[in-house]
Amino acid sequence: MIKTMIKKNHIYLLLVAVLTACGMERPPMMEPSSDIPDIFPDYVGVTIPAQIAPMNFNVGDDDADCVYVKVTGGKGGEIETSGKWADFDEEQWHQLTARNVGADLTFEVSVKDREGQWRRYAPFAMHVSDIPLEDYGVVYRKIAPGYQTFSKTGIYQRELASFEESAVLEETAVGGQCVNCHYSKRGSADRFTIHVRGKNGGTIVKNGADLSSLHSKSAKTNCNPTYGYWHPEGKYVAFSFNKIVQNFYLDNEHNIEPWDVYSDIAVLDINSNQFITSPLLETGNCETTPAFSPDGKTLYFCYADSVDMPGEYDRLRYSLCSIAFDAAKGALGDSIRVVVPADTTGVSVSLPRPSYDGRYVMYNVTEYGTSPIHHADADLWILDLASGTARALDEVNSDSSDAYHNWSSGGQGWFLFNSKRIDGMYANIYLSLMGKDGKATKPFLMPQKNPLKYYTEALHSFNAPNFTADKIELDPSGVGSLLAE
Amino acid sequence: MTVVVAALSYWFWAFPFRSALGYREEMQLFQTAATYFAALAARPGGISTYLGEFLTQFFNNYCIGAAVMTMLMMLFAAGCFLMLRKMRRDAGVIQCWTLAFIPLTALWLFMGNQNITVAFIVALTITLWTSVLYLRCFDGSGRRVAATLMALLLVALLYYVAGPVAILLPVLIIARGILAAEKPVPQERRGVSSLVWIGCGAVVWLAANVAVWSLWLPYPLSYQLIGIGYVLNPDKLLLGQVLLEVLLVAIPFLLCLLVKVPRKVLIPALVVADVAVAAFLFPKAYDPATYRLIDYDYMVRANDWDAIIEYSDRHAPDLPLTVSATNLALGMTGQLDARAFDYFQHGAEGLVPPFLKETLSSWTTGEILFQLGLVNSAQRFYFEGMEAIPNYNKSVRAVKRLAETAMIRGDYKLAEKYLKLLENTLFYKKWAMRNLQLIKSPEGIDAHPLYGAMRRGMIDETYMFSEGELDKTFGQLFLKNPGNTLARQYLVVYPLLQRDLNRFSQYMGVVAEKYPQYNPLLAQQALAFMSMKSGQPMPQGMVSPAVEQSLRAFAQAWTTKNPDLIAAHRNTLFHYLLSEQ
Repeated sequence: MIKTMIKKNHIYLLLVAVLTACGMERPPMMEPSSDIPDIFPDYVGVTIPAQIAPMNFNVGDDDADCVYVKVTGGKGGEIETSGKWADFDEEQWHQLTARNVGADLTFEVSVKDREGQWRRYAPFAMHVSDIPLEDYGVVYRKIAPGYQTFSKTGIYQRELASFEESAVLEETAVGGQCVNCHYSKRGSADRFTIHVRGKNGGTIVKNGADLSSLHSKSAKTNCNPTYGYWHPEGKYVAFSFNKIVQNFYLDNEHNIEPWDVYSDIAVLDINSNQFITSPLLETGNCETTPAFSPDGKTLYFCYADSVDMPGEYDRLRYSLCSIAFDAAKGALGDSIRVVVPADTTGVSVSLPRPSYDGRYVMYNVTEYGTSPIHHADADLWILDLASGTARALDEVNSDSSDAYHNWSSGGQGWFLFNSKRIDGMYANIYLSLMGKDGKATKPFLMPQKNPLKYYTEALHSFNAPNFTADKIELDPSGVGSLLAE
Repeated sequence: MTVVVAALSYWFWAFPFRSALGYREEMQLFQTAATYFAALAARPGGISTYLGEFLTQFFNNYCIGAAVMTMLMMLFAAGCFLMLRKMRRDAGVIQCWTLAFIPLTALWLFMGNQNITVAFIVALTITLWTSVLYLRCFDGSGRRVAATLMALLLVALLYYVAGPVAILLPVLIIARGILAAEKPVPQERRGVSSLVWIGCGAVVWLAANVAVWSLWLPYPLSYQLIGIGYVLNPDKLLLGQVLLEVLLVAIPFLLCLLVKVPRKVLIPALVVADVAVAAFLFPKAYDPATYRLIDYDYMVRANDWDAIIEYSDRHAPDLPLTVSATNLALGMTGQLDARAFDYFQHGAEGLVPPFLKETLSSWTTGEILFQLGLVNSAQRFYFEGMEAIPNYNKSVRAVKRLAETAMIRGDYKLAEKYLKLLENTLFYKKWAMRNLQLIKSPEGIDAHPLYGAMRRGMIDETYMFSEGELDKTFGQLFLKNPGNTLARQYLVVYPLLQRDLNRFSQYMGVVAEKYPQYNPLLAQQALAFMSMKSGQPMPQGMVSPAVEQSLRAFAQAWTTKNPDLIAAHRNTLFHYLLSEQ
């Protein structure tokens, strides 16, 4: 009996010891230093939606023995965490952000080094925006930022409120064919297209309950659909058909220069499966990256006169243009309007993305060319359609490529974009909010459970990201069968 | 005999086929990180893949790698032996061992396909040992319910751990049931029929497992049936894999047939048959042409230039990869401008082969570009090669080189990313940690004997890589750094390989501005040839008497049109300039 009790006590003691070891490690009381902690990702002073997953971060490099963080909400509430990095409990985090909508969260960080010495840093804040980000998550292609050969590619979605990532369509499900960009109707999980390139390739069109495969090529260029954009009514998808080649730089400053030998634009009528064309968009020069205005009456696109490539690669400059579109008649207009001319601005425009409230067009600017993701000078610009003024979004741009932006489907100003600012090679997703004053907030890197570990070990870029209003349900084997037909 | 086979295996992998180990090692980036395990463990057979990759990392050192490979093969053979002992209890130890060497030989031959991974051996061995364990516990035990439940449990578990070779467990259970029935023993009668039924039930259960997994696995069903991690390219079922698995099931039946044959006859006969079949199939299994490519790749990776030249002396290089590797080795040892035509040449592509979406070719080209000092292009080719690995693996070799190119280019954050990945490996950890320190002080890279020199020799001007104008690039490299002897040799030899003597003269002029005394053997041969062709006297002091004599002998042979006489001059520039025009 006694022996049994002793054994039981040992077990209890052991349990207590284990629990103590795993418990919260708090620093002693001390005055904070004047320095703000060097955290990764840089979340200091960012504005976040209340719905976002815990903004976990690492302090300095991963040499810290213990990190203790206390978060206090301006409207009340407090959470704390300790460990190798700041790893907040999801439920507590969401309770805190929900309670502090429109207020600041103050982060007090203390770090214990390997010698057991604690250091308390000056607090910093994150602002919880009162503008909600209602999308379920983001959808993107994971692809190695390579040159001509890609190993595994796939379209994935990530819930913004958590760290959960799931595959929408991986290339292994379609016999190793390259899975390409996903374009949806304003973030719809029900209406989207995905390109699959390869022997049995095609464009998968998900239109409500219907899933079909489009094998059309443009009549003039014999190219596959490339860049796409859904009409707000969901009856049409504008595609550019690009004959893309790549050149490679020898010098240290650049890597790749993809360019279009030629490209055209046509609008697919989803119901009739017919393309609506216009000679204005099939000129023998380069028309690319179409995007409908939120009212569906205007089709933005980029246009460049062909130059002698690759020799004149640095003379290839695209203008932002638009053409009218009549959804009722299914007809394109008979004139082109130049919105941002390349010849007077001296820059090249790509990837126009009108905001869903109709106020802005966000686009990319590079010195030349059509592939901002491969240009370190690629910046985001914003055109205010009311005033007609355009400016660089300096508050979000970096020294590396910033591109592939998209607006949240709610139309309240949240947007995301790709940036290579961490290492210059791998593109990651950043989010920001375009305020009512026309200023964007400091962008923040998409949170991860252990961000430093995640972003260090990831050998892929988050390519062509977009928001998705709901979780996408797509049967990969159904897609495989559809393509094999 | 076991010791002899083990010793033979060790010798085989450590010496003639050590490059096969290196090939398998460079096709993976095994990480000790938990996330790496988790990613593999999410699919059937992933645990075997993890174990296989864990063991494959030791192939970095061929002495250890050969030991690991031998250990695995002997574990496989031991599993076969124990399985045979369970199948026929009255069979002798020596008989069983001798028969066990038959599937071992088959496996050995099958591993001749360089794309078969170690994960396949691991999966097979785990399955065999599990089968033995199962039969030991339940064969003839009479515990039918327990035997059935355990078979179902093990099949599901085995499919998860080892993948589709798990089919061997139920089939071997059935085989044991059939074999036991052939030799009626009253006490075992009930167990006999039970095993057959249990085996059949387990096959159905396995099919159900496969079906359930297929609901969420992002792979076609065919991949699931072939085995996702067994081969680098699991898009088609290999005959060898089927034969090996059939052999493992058939061998117990063979034992039953042969058990009554006197040992003195049986053992030598089996050994002779085994060796004869192995000798007959060996050249097919270990395709010499494929293994030459792998050998070259191994030596290029090790930068063992002397070994490449020695190898090329024994095996005439004739493919783009082998020719370009030989030219690189000649260039790195300062012999290209003298000995290029000692070996087969087929145009300027033999210096820098054109891009192919294929791993070994890309890496060889990448290494040539790296040694030339075209760091940006080397980065591209190493990246391309890594992305071309068919099973989507990353590569330690490529990541190591990518870390170096990033360091040289000054992309320290990118270099840090790659180095941190290598920090999670066993054999590259120390190197990675050393270089993580180095990138903290960029002046350290400037002072580095290799990285610093390469950084200083990089091309500054912005222009595009053009496979058709590589001579201009060699010229740029040479002008930027006249000490770049490889670029100098490539610049001079490039027009000769194109049979463009005018351009050769121009390039010699460029080189002569920096090195007035530069007059290698091939330059002398070219000068002599041009002089003779134009009817001019040999330039004074520019052509050695030996070259002059050699040209006269060649001209004499050429005019006779006697192929045997002409062939004697095969290794000269003169022969190259005229023979294939």
